[in-house]
Amino acid sequence: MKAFLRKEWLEMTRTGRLLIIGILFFLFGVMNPAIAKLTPALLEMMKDAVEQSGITVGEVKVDAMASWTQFYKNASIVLIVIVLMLAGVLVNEYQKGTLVQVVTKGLSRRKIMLVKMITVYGTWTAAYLVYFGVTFGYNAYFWGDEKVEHMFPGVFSLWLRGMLLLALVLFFSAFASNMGQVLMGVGLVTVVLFFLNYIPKLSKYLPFRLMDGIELMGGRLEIKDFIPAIVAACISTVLCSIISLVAFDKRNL
Amino acid sequence: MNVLEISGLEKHFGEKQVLRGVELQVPEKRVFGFVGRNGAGKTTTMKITLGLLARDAGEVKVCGENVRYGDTKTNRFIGYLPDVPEYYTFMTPFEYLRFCGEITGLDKASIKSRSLDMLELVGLGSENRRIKGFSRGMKQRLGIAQALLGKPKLLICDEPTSALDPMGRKEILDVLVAAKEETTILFSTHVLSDVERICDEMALLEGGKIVMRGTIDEIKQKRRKPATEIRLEHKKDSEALLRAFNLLRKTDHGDLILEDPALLPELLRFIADNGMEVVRIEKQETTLEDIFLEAIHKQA
Repeated sequence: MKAFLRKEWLEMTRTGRLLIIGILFFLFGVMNPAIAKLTPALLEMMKDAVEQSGITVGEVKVDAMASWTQFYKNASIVLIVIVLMLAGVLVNEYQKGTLVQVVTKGLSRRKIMLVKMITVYGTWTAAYLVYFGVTFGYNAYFWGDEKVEHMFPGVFSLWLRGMLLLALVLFFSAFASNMGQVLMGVGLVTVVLFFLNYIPKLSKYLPFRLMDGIELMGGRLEIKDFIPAIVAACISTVLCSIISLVAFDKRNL
Repeated sequence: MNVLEISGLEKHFGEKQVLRGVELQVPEKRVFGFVGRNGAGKTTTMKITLGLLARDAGEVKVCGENVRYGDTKTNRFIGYLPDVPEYYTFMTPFEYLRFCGEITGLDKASIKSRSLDMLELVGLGSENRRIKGFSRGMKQRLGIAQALLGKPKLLICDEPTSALDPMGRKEILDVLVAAKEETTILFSTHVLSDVERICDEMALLEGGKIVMRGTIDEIKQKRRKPATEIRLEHKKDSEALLRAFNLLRKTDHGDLILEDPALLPELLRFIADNGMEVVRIEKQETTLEDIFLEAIHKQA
């Protein structure tokens, strides 16, 4: 199993995928405070044009909250990128036929799937730490004296949202034979959940709540509003992981 | 002892029945040719043996243990060379073999020595490039190295020579002959000259069943039809001969074929008495190809 894990590491580094993810997430992380910081300057530049149309631009006050708002606004794109980068983790191996050799060499399928989980969840966690760390660092540097309430529950929730999406990627990878099918599966689930989100009774359990960390920081939601969604996401993640482990045992390689 | 025993093996793909009760026993330390045309079910049989495909009926035993679909323990006895082996191309050959050794569970010291030995055996000893830039023949040879790495009791090769040029083919066959010292080889192919060159025994798969099996010599003996081929210089002589011996058969090229050797002296006398001019008189050699075609013809 260690050997297969080392192979995953070699693959991530030598194919440059890890580097790309690192750079992207670093840039995403920088963007949040940068946009917040640049907003007044941008508004200043456009002031004349805007005022001619009759809108007065007052003093714009930017703070850490503006940067955290960006942090959550960009969450969707961050999630999409990580799903795209990792959706091929199993199907690419099916398509090339590389796992056939590994299985016929006697590595158990459970271990293969476990290593893939470690790779996928680990990569997301590392990438998310970069994204969060960079934003957090710049925020502390620019607006360090400001106090921000309830940051960590929201940050954790967004991480969990990513875990759930990647659990779905693994789940569909255990059945699909190409990347399109995996992405379609994940997309379909997201769309269905999106519509279910309109049912008020359901919405507090759905993972979209996990992306509302900014509401928590702004005091419009409380931690207890997040609990049902967190519990539901944890259960779904574990369930998807277990099903993919079992299903992978009997799939055609 | 039989390294591989297959009995009553059946497999459908949808409506199509590919295997209809395959019976096959492969004894130890042989190079066993598994012959059949494309689509006969050779790869299916091998994949079932490796636990990569589920079977519909029958039994497969490797070294006396049952093969299960999915996670099968019997794979520890087997080295497998797929028809087109695929690798992690970001690794070097040595790294790949070390990876294979580790997942097979070999200890560190033997992984290193064995990897170097195997790379030497297949002529990749000095190759430090990543696999990405390898030719097909090199990949095939690396495939043999990885398959033999764990000293398997059974080496399954799925058409290892089909995609190669004559040079690459010769190299692979030489390596397989060398590997025979250590292991039993099940060698699937539709190239009969390869079978004649390296196999001790063979079985012919046709219509989802084994229709013929035995040592190469046995099979040739059994099927030997010592026909004689006669070619005369002048057409009118050929026609005269045909009229005189109505058992003679004429081919498209104008040659005459005599199936019954008992008639030969009389025929030769006739030729001599009539002063016919002979181009050649030749005893036909039965090739595996004839046998193969005949067997397939019978099934159809």
